[in-house]
Amino acid sequence: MARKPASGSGRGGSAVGDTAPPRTRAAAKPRTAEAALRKVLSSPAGTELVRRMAEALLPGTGSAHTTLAAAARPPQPLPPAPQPLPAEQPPVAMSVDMLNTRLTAVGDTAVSALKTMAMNITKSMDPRLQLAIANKRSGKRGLMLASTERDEIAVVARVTSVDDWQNIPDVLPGSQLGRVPDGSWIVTGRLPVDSIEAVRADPAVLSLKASQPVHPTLVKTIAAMGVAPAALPAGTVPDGGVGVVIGIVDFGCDFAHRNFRQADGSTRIISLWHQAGVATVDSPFGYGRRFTQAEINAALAAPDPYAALGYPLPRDSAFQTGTHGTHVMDIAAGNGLGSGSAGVAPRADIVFVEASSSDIPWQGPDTVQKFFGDSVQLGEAVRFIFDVAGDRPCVVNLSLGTNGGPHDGTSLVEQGLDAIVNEQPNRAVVIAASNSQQDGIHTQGQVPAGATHDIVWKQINAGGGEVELWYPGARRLEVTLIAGDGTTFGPVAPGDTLPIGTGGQISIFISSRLDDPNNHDNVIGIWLAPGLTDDDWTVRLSSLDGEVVDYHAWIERDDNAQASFAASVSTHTLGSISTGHQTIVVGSYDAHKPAFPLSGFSSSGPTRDGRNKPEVSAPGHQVVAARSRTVTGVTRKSGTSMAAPAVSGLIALIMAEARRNGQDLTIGALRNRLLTGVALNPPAIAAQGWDPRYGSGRATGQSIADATV
Amino acid sequence: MPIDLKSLTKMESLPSSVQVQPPQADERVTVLVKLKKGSLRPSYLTERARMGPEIFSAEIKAGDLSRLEADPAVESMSLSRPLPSIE
Repeated sequence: MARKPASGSGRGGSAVGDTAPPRTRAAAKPRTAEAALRKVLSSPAGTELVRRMAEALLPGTGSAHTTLAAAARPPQPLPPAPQPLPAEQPPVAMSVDMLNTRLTAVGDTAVSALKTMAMNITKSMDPRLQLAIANKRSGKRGLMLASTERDEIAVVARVTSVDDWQNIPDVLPGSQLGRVPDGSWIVTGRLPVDSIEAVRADPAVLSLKASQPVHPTLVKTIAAMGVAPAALPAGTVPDGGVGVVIGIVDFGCDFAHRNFRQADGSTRIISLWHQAGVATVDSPFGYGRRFTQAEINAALAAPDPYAALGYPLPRDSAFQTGTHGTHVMDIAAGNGLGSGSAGVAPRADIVFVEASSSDIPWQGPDTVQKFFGDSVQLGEAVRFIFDVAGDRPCVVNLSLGTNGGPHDGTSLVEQGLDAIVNEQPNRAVVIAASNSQQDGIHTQGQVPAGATHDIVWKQINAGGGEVELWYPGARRLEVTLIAGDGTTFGPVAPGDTLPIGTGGQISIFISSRLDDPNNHDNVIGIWLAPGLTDDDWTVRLSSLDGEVVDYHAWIERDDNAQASFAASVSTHTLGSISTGHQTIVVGSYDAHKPAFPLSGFSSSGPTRDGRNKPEVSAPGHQVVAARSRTVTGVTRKSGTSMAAPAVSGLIALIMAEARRNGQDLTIGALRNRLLTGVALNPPAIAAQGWDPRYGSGRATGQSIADATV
Repeated sequence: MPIDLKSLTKMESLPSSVQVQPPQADERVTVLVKLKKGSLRPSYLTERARMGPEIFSAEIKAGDLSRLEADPAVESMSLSRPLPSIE
């Protein structure tokens, strides 16, 4: 149910217009009546007056006031051109071979020209340390890294005594990792490359090894999917997705991160819609704030680009390192100019919709750092992105969802997404499968004829919760709720509701709805307020028509106190909007391990009406990608939200290749290409043809080739 | 005065937590509306965004949901609800 946003969200009729620009001397009096009117209407009070007038005269057009108020404002000057990056600090892509423990790639050098270089280096030493010394002596300068200065090296050592280690000259002690059975200690530290041999020779040092670089895991995504340019199918030239638009509907777009900027510093984001922003005359569908590419470029020239743009990018907190949306956007379309590791479609254009349903931070311990969109606004976000894309190929990435719903693609938001995709070719919507596989939130079974059937609903910290139970429209179930102490509520007959509470406050609500208008199935809903009891509840079902009744039930998502079914069934755990017919759903596997095991959290299909979803899987485990508010930094996140944008990027490459070949791809043709190019290892996938969590297989760049050619 | 959600047979099934606190009649809500094939959008509805030939979004007063219920052009409708981020 939509709740009118609190004041200040800028939605519909609640916005207050821009304040007048600051002045350094007294303002000149308006010389004409028109100028006087403009002055009045431009003020906050004037804007509020217009809003009330619009509401009184034209109910339902609360957003009209922004049109009137905005029209009263004088035209704004064009934003200045974006500032190019300073010449002395060109963006440099980092690569591992720049480290002092690696060899730098060489240009064309005949092997016959190579000669032995005379260097006297202690041979009984870790080879990487030897190489670091050799590199230094041959003139290769080391990099400034997070923990080392230039020409320093990070080491792990086994030492006789931590105190002695700390006292060795030139050693900058790090941490004590632990004591080994022989009494020695494992420690870390940093030291100048020039001091390696002397430190190694110290009697306190039993063993000394160079630390190893951890590969940015976006590299793992690219490698596992085979979408690096060198790994693409022969003859294909998707060119990083050039000409394709990738739309991201998410939370927190760091447009200032270098990965989303061209080499000249200008933005790659062609449009940014902040749905909870203050509305303007050109707000999409009358709400939120749309920022153009020119406005973003102008903001990038400011010391605080987020403030300059008027876009409140969240900061890191105890609960979040880097925003979700920035991370997702990088996986799909980052160009690596900041982090050194590009996403799947680094040359695609980007449209971002900030899906927050309110400008007001969600308050309270139950909602700390929770980001919520809105189901209707989600559909409008997708509509907006495809409108911006126009006739250009476009893929939209979504990572929102709950646990409830019919799970058969019939919800109106899913039907709406299907309809938008079907409007024209070269469109796709990719959705994360959800991360609820391990939460015990689904069960299914049969209510026998002539006997009752119990479902046990386990509580966490008396958190309450919500159950939705769907069953065929032709059947009739009666439901009774039994508390842990035996107190019984109900029975509730089909079509009835039962509110239960005390003092005018409802604590339990049972509804039994017949004939959902979208699928004509029946649904029982039970809501328990938090704080009732930590005991298990029992949902007792009876078939009233003498027939066996199949059912599926889900417990709604609660990130603070997730309840579960005692006898959960680990299928059908896809998210609430992840069961559409034309959308593509993506599960997650771990690309760090050779066997590419599934991520434990990755939700399972099929849909309740038996369709095979997810379609494919992609790396979603410990994925390192852009971290917001760091310009070039990265952070690590896991989830099907990390897998979905990898496939969105892949689809952008597929679309780019098709476009290059003059082909239009319907969603059916696109899906076929995606499924034709999957990797079938591990063997579990091949054995079944379709796996409820891997899908038809692991998405790969082989899909870029046209299998029919 | 809260609206009677039970009377809205064309309303997509709502979570119980939403049914517990139905909107007030004068509260503005956003909805998705699905029209029957070939039907025209009712004139009292201002379309916000179109999603295909039959589905569009709109903002109305909750009390007007009964008009949608009674309108033969309307096949079904859904109230907007929160959608959290999938991590």
